[in-house]
Amino acid sequence: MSRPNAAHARLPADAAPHYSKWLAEREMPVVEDSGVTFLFQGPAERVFLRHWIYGLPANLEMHRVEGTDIWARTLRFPEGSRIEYKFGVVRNHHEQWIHDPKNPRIAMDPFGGNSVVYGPGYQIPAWAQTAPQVPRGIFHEVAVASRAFGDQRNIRVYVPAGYRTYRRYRLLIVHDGDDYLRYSSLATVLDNLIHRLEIPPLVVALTNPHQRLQEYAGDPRHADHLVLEVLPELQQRYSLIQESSGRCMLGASFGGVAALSTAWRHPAAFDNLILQSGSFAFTDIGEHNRSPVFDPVVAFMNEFRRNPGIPAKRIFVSCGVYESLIYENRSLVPFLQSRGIEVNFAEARDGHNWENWRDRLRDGLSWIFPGPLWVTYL
Amino acid sequence: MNSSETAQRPLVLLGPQPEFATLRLALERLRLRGPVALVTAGWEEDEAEDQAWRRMLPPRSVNLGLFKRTEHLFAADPEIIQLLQRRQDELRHLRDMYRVRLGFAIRGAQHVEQATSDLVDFAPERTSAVDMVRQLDREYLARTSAVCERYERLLDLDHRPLVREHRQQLGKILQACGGLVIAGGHAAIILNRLQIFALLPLAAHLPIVACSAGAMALASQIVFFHDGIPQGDTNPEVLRAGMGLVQGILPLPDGSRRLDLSHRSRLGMFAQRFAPLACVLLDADTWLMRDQGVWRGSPHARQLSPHGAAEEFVSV
Repeated sequence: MSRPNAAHARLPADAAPHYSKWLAEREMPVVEDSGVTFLFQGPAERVFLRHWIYGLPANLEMHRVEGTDIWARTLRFPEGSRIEYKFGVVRNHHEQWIHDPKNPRIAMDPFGGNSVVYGPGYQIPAWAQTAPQVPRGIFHEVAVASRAFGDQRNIRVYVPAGYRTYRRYRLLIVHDGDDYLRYSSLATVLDNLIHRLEIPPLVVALTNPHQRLQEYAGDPRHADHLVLEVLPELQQRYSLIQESSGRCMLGASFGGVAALSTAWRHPAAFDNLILQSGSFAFTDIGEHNRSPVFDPVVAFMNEFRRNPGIPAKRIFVSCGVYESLIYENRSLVPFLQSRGIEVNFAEARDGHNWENWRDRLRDGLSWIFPGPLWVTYL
Repeated sequence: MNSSETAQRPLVLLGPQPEFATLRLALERLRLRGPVALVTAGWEEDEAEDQAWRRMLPPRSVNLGLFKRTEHLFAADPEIIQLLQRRQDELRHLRDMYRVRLGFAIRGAQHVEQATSDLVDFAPERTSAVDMVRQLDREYLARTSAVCERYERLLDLDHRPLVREHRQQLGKILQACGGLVIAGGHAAIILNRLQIFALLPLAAHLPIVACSAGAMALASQIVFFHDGIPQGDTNPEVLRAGMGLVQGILPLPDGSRRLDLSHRSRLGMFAQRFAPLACVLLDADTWLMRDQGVWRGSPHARQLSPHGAAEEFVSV
C-alpha cells in the first residue's frame, strides 16, 4: 500500500476513507529502503519534525495530507543510521514537543527521551541486551569525603560476577555513571562483554557530579577529587592492578571533557581514556559561538591545545556524524596522535545521545582492555 | 615423548563442556577405574573452583593444582619467572613480526584467490600464495621452538630441587590415578604448566581426556583462531609447538561458534595452511578418540576442507 510522502503528502484514494484504521494498524514511522516516512495524526496548525541532525535544517515541516488530519514527511536515512526525533505540534500558535505517539521506541535520557527510528540495517547490539544465562555484577555504595569539593560524594561501584580478592582487576572510572547505567545499559554491557571474554572482569566506579556544567568543564577540583580522593579509596577497598596501565576513565559529552581534563592534570594516573562525543570546543581565532556554559570548556581546551603534554597513552575517541561536535572530535584525533598517543577513532551514523554511546562501548572497552577471548578455549 | 607412547596411549579430545555430555561419554568409553587426576590450570586463579567437574569424575579424583604449584615455584625460585618472562618477551617480539608478515601474506593470498582473468589461469599463483603463508607458519614455528629450547636449557628444570619435589609429588598422585583429565581455559598457560612439571611423562601410563584448550596443548602446534573478536578481522595464528601427543589433528575447540562457517574462502585457506593436519571442529557435541593409533570421531565430528566446507571428519 502506498502512503503519504514528503513530495506528495497524500493518502491513496482507497485508503483515504479508512485512513484512521490504516494508520492504527501500523507502527510508525514506516521504514523502507526508499526512505523513512513520519506520520502524525491530530488537529494542529503546523507540525514539525524536530531532530538533532547537525547540518539538516532545523525546521523540517511536515505536510498535511489533503482532506485528512494526517501530517507526513519522508526522509532518506542511510544504512546503519539511528535517529532520535520528536514532533513539534503547533496549536494556538504554541509549539509543543511530543514523542511520536505511534512509535513505541523511546530512547531515554536525562531530559525525558526522544522517539527513535532505526535506519536500514541498524540493530541494537546483542551484547547490549540482557541475556538470562549471563552472570551479573553487583553494586556497592562507597562514600568518599571530598576535600576538593568540601562535601561527600557517593559512588556506585560495579563489582564483576565472580570477583575474587586474590585476583587483580582493572579499574574503569565512569563520568555520569548513573546516566550510563540508566540510558546506556552499562551494567548489561559490562556483564555481557565480560561473559563473552571480550573484556576482562573490571571494577567500575560510577561517579556523578553535583554541579555538572561546572565540575565537568575542566574544573581542577574534579581532577583532584578523582585522582587524590576516589582512586586511593578504591585501591584500598578493591583488589586493583596498581599500575596506571590497568586504569581507564570513560566520559561522554562534558564527561569527556572532565576525563581529558583529569588525565591532563594528573598525567601519570591513567594510561587509558574513552572519550565519547566529547564537548571539546576550542577557538583558534576570536570567540566561540556556543552557549556560555562552554566558556570554561573552551578555556580548558585552548590551554590543553597549547600545552597538551601526554594525558594518556591510549585514547578511544568516538562521535556521531550527526553531532555538531564531530568537527572538534575529528580534529582531536591527529592532534593526540602527533603527541605519540595511540588513538582509536570511531564514527557512527548517530547523534549526541546515550544510545550512541552505548553502541560504541564494546569497541572502546575491548580496545582499551582486550579480554582473553583469543587465548581462551573453555 | 617416544613415538610408540605417542601412538598407543588412549586419548580422547573433547570440546567445551557446558553440560559435560561428551566428558561423561569419554569416561565411560575409556572405562576409567579409580580416581582421576584433573588439570584446571587453564582457569588460572580460579583453578580450584572445580566442583562441577569433580562431580563428573570418579570418587577421590584429585585436582593437581598446577597453577597454584607454579605460583609457589615462581615465588620460591624467582629465577624461573625471570627466565620465563624473558622468553615471553622474545616470543612477543617474534609474534609481532609474524603478525605483520602474516597479514600481508594472507591479504595477498586472498587477493590472488579471488582474482580472475580471461587470459590466464591463476591456479599456480593461488598455490604459491598459500605456500608462502605455510612457509611463514613453518618459519615461525621453528623460530619459537628454537627460543623455547634455548630457555629450556637455561631453565634446566630437571635439576631444580623445588621442581623435582613437585614432580615427585605429582608422580605419586598420578600413580594412584586411573586417568588424566585436562580441562580447557588459557591454552598457553596449560601448555606451560604441562611442560614445567613434565606431566605427560609422569602420566605416561594413563589414558587422557583433553578438553578444548587442553586438547590444543597436546597437539603438534597450537593455533589461535576466532572470527568474531571485537577488534575485527584477525587471522588464525600459530602460538608455538604443543606437546606433540596429538599427531595429524589440529583441534579447533568450539569451532562452529568461533569460526564464520559461511566464509568459505577463509575456511579453505585455514585448511590449506595447516594441511596435512586435519582441522577438526571440536564442538560441545563432538569427540575424537585415538584407537590403535587411528583417530575416529563422533557422528557430529567435522573438519575443514580445502574448499572451505565443514565436512564429515574422516579417520586419520
